[in-house]
Amino acid sequence: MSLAKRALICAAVDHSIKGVLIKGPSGTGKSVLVRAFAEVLPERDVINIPQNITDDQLFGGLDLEKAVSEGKAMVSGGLLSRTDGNFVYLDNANLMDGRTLDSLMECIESGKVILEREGVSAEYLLETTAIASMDPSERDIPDSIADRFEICVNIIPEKDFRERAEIVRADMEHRRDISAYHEDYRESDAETASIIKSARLILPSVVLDRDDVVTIVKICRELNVGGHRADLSAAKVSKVLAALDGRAFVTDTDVSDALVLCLPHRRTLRTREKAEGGKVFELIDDSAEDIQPDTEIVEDVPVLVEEFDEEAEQDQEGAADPGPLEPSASTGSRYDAIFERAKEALDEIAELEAFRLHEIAGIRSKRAPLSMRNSGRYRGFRVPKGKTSDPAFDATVRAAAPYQISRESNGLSIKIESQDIREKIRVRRKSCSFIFAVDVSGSLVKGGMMGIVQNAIRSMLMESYVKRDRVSLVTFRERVAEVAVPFTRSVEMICDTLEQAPVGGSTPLASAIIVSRDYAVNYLRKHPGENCYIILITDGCATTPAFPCADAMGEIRRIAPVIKDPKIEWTVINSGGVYDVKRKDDARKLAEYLDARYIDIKDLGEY
Amino acid sequence: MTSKKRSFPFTAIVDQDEMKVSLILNIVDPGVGGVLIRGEKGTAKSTAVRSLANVLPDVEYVRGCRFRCDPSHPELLCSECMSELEAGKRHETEKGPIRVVELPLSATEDRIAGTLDLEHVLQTGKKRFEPGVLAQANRNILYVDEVNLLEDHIVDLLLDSAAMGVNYVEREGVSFSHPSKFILIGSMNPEEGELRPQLLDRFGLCVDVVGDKYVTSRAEVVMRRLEYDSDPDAFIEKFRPETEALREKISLARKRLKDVEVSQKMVEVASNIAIYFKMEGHRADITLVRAARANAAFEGKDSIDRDDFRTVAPMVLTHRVKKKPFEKSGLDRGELEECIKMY
Repeated sequence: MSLAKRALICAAVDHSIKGVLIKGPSGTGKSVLVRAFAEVLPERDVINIPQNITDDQLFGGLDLEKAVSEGKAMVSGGLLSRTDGNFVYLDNANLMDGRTLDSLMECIESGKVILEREGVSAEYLLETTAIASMDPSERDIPDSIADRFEICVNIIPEKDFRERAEIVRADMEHRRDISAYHEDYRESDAETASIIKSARLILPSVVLDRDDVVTIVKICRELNVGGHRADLSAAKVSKVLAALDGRAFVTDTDVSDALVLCLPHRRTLRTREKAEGGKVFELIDDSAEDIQPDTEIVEDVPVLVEEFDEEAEQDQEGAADPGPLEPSASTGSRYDAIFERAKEALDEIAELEAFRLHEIAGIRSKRAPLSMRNSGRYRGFRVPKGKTSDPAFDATVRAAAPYQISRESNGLSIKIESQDIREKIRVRRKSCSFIFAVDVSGSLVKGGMMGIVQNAIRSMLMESYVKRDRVSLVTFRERVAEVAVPFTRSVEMICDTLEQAPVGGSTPLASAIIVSRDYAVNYLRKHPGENCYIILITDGCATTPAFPCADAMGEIRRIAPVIKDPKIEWTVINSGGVYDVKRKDDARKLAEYLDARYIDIKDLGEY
Repeated sequence: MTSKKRSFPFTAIVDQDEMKVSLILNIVDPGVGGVLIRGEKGTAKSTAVRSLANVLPDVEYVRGCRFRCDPSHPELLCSECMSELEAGKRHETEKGPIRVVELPLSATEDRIAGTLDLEHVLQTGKKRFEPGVLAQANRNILYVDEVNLLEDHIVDLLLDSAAMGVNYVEREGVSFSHPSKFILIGSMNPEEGELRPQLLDRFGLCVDVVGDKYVTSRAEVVMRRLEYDSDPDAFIEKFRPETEALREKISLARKRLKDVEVSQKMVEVASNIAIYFKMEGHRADITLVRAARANAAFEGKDSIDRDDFRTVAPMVLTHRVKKKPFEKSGLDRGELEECIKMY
């Protein structure tokens, strides 16, 4: 919990930190923490933004009352206009409409709201910080939006029973006697408030020297984090952490702590996956060169360097002075220490974030498809082409409102003409269809992999149970690949069938691919507009060909291009290779043939 | 709609030369046709576009005109300026910088195309058109961040105006049209989804930005941003000489543009490139020549040469080359170089 608290305090000290993302399972006290935080800072409010808010409620729109009574088109500032100088709190931010969240974060980051809606046009400045919380077992926030949050912390449910007991006790007391409880904690709140206040005073004089920035830049790349926001966030937070500690210089611990706060949400599965076998981002370390005065980039740099170095030296007063003679060597060892510390903490966090089914299948937050029929969530409105069967009443009334004074009465309380009519834009969350094709041949049994595979599937299925996805199971061994469980929402049925499935024998991999694919194609024929994801769990060593031929693996290579279908996406999870390194490449080759995502079962988390 | 807020100086953006050049070429010659900036999150795409405001030159327009009509092009005047001209009135003019008009994602149709001016109706009983974003964008820059996330019906509106240079409004009992010629600048993160082909084709240039790969450059980005955040005014002041110089250079290039010689030979080089890379239609050829001419003007040259094509051809071709499946970018720079040298 203390990490989350620290994150919020950082945002309170430095208003240029515009976003804090808190991840944690439900019931870990995310909202409680944010509310308690609000009490620490009496001068800034925390304003709650509900997840189903519409664009005009949030950003503002036409002032309905003024329009009807005076016929004037005036702007009614939305909820956002009231958050200037305060914090906004987005509970379950991941469930918010992606575009609304994107627009909101864009406004907060740029400090400006541009409003062009329903006949009104306005622009206002906005200074606020977003605190968002989300339950990671639900869908994730798209990477590009998450990147707009400087800081991300994961709340881990307390495992220690004494700590847990303490939480229960605090909660009981809170409920019994709110005022007394607050009295107890007010003292520590006051203490926190004064730390924040003094940190704010120190912050402008905190010096971050160029070496630290170079270290941050290098570590971000080493950990496969892209974009400049990560570097900048870590630099800012390092300074804030120093200020919180009452120092005007930044220590190595500040830097590594800052990295731990700023990088968890930026090391995504995709970058980790891309990084397999190398770096995602090319980085050329020219930082040692820039000491030579004749390098090109140095031209406009020296001013900064001198300035910062001077001050840093004054402040540090000889503390661990690297000395100008061997700058690369000393920064090297410093770098290693910071890197090790940050990486260890970040890996721990990454492990907590076990792979999720949607991530595994490569379903990224594509734009939700516009719904064809009159179902789905009301997201916005438009002027209909011709007649509409799905009018948006609120928007229609707003469109008609300004004309009420001038229109002739027709006996109704609101006079609506055809040009006022707006229709709804709806979006429907697509449910996904997964086919698990599981290798139950002898090679798996031998390796003792069956249990691991079952656990992996079970944990992936838990998520699809929450999301109401359709899942089916194909198993293959000996000469047969068959649909063992047709598409169902019953996760239990899949688990049971898998447990009871006969195992052992050779591997008819090509047949499994054909059977799964044909089943998917059939299903898609009946459900156009959906996509199908086939997750092939195998060690990739094909032994039995589908058609009489000698080379089972070659057969797969030949059929792969023929069975491609834009609506079917493949993922290969390598269940072999854990004990037998030689076979690891087979599954990878298979993934290449199928143009599939490749994931090693070891990476799936704690099994 | 111009930004009253200070913005990060254009000249303080570290590296990203191709993106900067593509933006400048469009200001030098709006006929280049806009630019689409593609890149991963956090690669200074929107910072660059917003900071353009610092280096934009002045243009002359009819005083008081809502569409900033160009007095030197009578055929492009709005109906109001036109009727004044026909009535024998001489237009008074004034000067002001080109502006960056932003189109927010949450914008609604009526505010983009414009709608009925309500207060005018109530006060005078007469209908009048209330201009929208497309009117403000006339002769300015229209910037759409996350252009790939724009709703389809909004994209249609943009395409119509971009194609004709005129915005026609037929709604709420008003029938109106006004000039709407703008430099369309879009930015997007391709991970979020692709752009509609019709809209993609509309952009004259396209650049793919990637994060810097040099440690010192990346560190410099952070240092400059921190410095800007701690005292924006001082930072802007520090870069003022460079910014002013660039603004002057762009302004000069605009004046020189028409005098840059385009030889028959160079036009043939452009056509040859277009044919080699199997461009459909003539838009690519034309854009190649226009962009090369803008580049020559910006570099202070009297005529265009092969180096101009070396600079602009990748921006013109990147989004137009037919991609083979699973290929990241269809443009082979080695082939391009051969092609430029060959002819």
